[in-house]
Amino acid sequence: MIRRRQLIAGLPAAAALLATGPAGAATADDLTAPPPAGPPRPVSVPPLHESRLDNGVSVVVAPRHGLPLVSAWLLVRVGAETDPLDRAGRADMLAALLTKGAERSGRRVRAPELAQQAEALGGSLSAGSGWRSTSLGMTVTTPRLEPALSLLTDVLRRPTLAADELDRLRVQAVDALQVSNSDPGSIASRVARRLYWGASAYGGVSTEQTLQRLQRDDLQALHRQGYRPEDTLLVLSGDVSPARGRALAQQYLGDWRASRIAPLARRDGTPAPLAPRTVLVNLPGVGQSSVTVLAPFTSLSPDDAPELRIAQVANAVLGGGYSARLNQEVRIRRGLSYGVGTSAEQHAEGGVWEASAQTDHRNAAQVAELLRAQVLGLAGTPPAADELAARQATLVGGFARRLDTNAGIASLITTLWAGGRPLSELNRFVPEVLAVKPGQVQDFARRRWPAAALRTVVVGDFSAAPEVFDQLAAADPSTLRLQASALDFSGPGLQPAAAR
Amino acid sequence: MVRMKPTFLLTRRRTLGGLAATAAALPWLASRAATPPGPGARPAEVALPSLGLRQRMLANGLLVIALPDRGTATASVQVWYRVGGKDDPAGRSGFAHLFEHMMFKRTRHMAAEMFDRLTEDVGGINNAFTAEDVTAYQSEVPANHLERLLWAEAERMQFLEVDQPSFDSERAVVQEELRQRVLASPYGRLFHALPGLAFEQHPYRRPVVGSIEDLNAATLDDVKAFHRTYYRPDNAVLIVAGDFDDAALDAAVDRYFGRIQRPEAPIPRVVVQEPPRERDERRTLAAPRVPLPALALVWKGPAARDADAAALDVASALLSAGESSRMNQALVYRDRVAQAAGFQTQLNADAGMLVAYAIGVGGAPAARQLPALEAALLREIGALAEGPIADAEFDKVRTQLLTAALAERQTPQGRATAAGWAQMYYGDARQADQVLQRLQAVRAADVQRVLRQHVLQARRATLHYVQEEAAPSPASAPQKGRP
Repeated sequence: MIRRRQLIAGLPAAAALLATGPAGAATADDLTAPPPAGPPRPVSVPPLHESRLDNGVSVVVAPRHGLPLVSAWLLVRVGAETDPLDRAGRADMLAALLTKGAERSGRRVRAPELAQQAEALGGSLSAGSGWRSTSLGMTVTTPRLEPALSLLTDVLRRPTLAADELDRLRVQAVDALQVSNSDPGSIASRVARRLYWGASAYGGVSTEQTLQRLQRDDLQALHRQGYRPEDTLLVLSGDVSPARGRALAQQYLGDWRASRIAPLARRDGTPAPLAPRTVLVNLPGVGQSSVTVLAPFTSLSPDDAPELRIAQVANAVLGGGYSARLNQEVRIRRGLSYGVGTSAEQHAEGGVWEASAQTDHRNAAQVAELLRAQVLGLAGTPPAADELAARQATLVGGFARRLDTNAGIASLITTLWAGGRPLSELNRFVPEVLAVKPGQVQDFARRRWPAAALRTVVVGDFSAAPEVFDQLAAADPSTLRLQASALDFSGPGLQPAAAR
Repeated sequence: MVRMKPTFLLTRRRTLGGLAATAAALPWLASRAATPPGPGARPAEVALPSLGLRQRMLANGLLVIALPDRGTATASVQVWYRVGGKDDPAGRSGFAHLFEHMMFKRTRHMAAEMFDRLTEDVGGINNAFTAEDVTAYQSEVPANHLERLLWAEAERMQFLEVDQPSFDSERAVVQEELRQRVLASPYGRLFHALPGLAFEQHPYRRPVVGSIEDLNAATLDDVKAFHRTYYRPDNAVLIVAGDFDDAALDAAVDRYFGRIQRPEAPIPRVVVQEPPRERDERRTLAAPRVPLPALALVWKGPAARDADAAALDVASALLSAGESSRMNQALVYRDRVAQAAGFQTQLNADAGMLVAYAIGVGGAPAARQLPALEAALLREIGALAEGPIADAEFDKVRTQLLTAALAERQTPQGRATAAGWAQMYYGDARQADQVLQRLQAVRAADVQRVLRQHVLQARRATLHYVQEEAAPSPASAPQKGRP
């Protein structure tokens, strides 16, 4: 159960206030300090009802009554990790294509009509894919749950995958890439991915060429091979009972027969970092530089499982919220950026952590150095007790707020399931986070984050501050300088084969 | 697909990820509506539960709105001030927003950033936003910390203390925010230019985020004067949502806010009347790094409380809410001439603007694409204004509205925010419960009449957004004056 801590030194954690009545008389006129907090309320995970249909479909119902609203999500364990390097974007394209036509009650329904049917139910039909899963979901009012499930399951099981729709989506995706190629943050994140993972399963980056190679056959094969009942999860969260949820699952997914085709093979996902430890990309005319620092993170392998919460707390100390160390240094102390964000990505063979910020070109070297110094500094400066407690509270509070909405609960469930982790982890999250000790965070940083393991990517306008980019290059002899227009992710590196 | 939606709200924090996306999907829903339900109104199948709010006014003019919510472990504490970008002093565009950032610095009894100690360090979160008419401070905390937030909000309403180093540092942050939103984002400059096109007289013509130069001109004295002028109990609304005891809440509010003095000086108000547009106008904005050309058509719109507001919002939904909307189906799907297209209403307290926009596709020059896109946008608006509208299309919009409203009301923060907008736009938070009914009561004839009046028969400004030809212009280079 959650323990909340006093964080302002010297404040007594005493009497309950609003829950029981006004503050005691002794402090009645002292308004120079905040009143003490009341007794904490536990964070409670609602009951989750898990079951499996005979064909292997997993079902989780998370009843939450109060508002006549239900979120329905379908998840399949197929994601971009199975994309061949030269067809990066395949799983994503299939996810997008699902909603562009399906067979419904024996009739082919085309994209415009399908969109109308979905939106007439009040929610938009959203589809997307991650590294190891593809999801389809809608949030609707209670009376519309059944037609929504009918639509979702038709789209999942019987998509048309029409060639003209593929062509349309491909053109749009290529145009969207063109827009992303003017966004320094988007370029930095793609460069960072390739820099860290190399040509492994998680280094895939879609480009115009990889999208052009995708044929209807590729997508049909992926659907046939990868979309299988035993790899499918239905989550219903909100105004629905466990019995009704289970009955609906049986009605719409019970007759789906298991596939006899061999399941998809996944490429190796071991990180294969490229040689340069620093990559600088010139994007002429852009209004700001994007700075990203990468570091290794825990994997999903059982060996790393004991370190998962320690890793999450280490991330929180550096980047968990407004007050964490990176934002303290870059924004609060120095005003160098609107904010620093961090994220972590975990796969079977490895994981990566990244911090990123946008800043004036003239400050790019300083921001990169501040980010690196904070990552490296964690090994020497473990979090003090109050700092650790604050960042643990941030993690716990963020988790508790996700439990406040149907979509938040559904996302917690689908994330665990996609990673092959048991839902009982939800009940352990809070106590495990609160059990992490400062020394464990320090030890984690010392082992995982030595200087040689960090990578830095800066995308900006070199001509706006040449000396800054020279300074960045001078700091690391392995630096690679590139023009944004010369980037090419179609091969295994960052440039076209001829240029390497 | 390119996502291009005008971002009208400036927030203290960088928003990460898409968690807020559902709330933002129909941004106009929470804001406004004005016509009473007509005889043709159809009852929704499920009802939107009432907010069940309770309100009272303290002797010093502070309006207090309480939204009880039994069973939640989270409380939302919000203070909405009736001051926004329109109140930026002359030559100080962006000031209200910069000021919002300063409210997280030092006060007489709080060290700088103590708000973060009181919120995120105990598992809560804080944020704030500045819009044209309002600045709102929104915290979510574990329910047992509610009273501490009341203390802190009262503290910064009375005792803000600013110093030059923290002002300089926060100004730099706001300038980076401007660079990130406007200069580094592929369509940032386009949206930054719209208010100046829509409004000719009203201070709404200055973008809320302001300009680097005006932000540089702001002084510490400006901050003190602004706080004195606008941050006072009779210009504020306190909204509390969560599981609390009514009597205990009232006692705590009285204790922390009751003794704040109401200043004698009147609150200055913008009284500029925005005149109707006299003639059409055409502009071209060339910028570095414009990946696909884009176009915006801008009309003046009515104020939020105007009787036509609800029908304009429904027109916006018919034209551009979702994939099945008319503009998406025609321009993006069928004709494949646009990456994205839409029609947005931004109806502020004093005056509004209506924007139709489209982003082109790759492979054809702007000079060829933009006139065709302009014609296509006008064709879709014209077809909605003059042609048939199927009942199913209206039903779809009604269901979208209801579902979005229910989704927003899942959390104390969402309910408090719905009450806040209703209070700001209609002067009555209870209107939050009627907003939906009013939108759902709009009929085809209403939509067609308002489109004819405010769009088809009105003058407009047309903005073409294209790649500049030569080397990057001085505007794209970093600005002077950074510390």
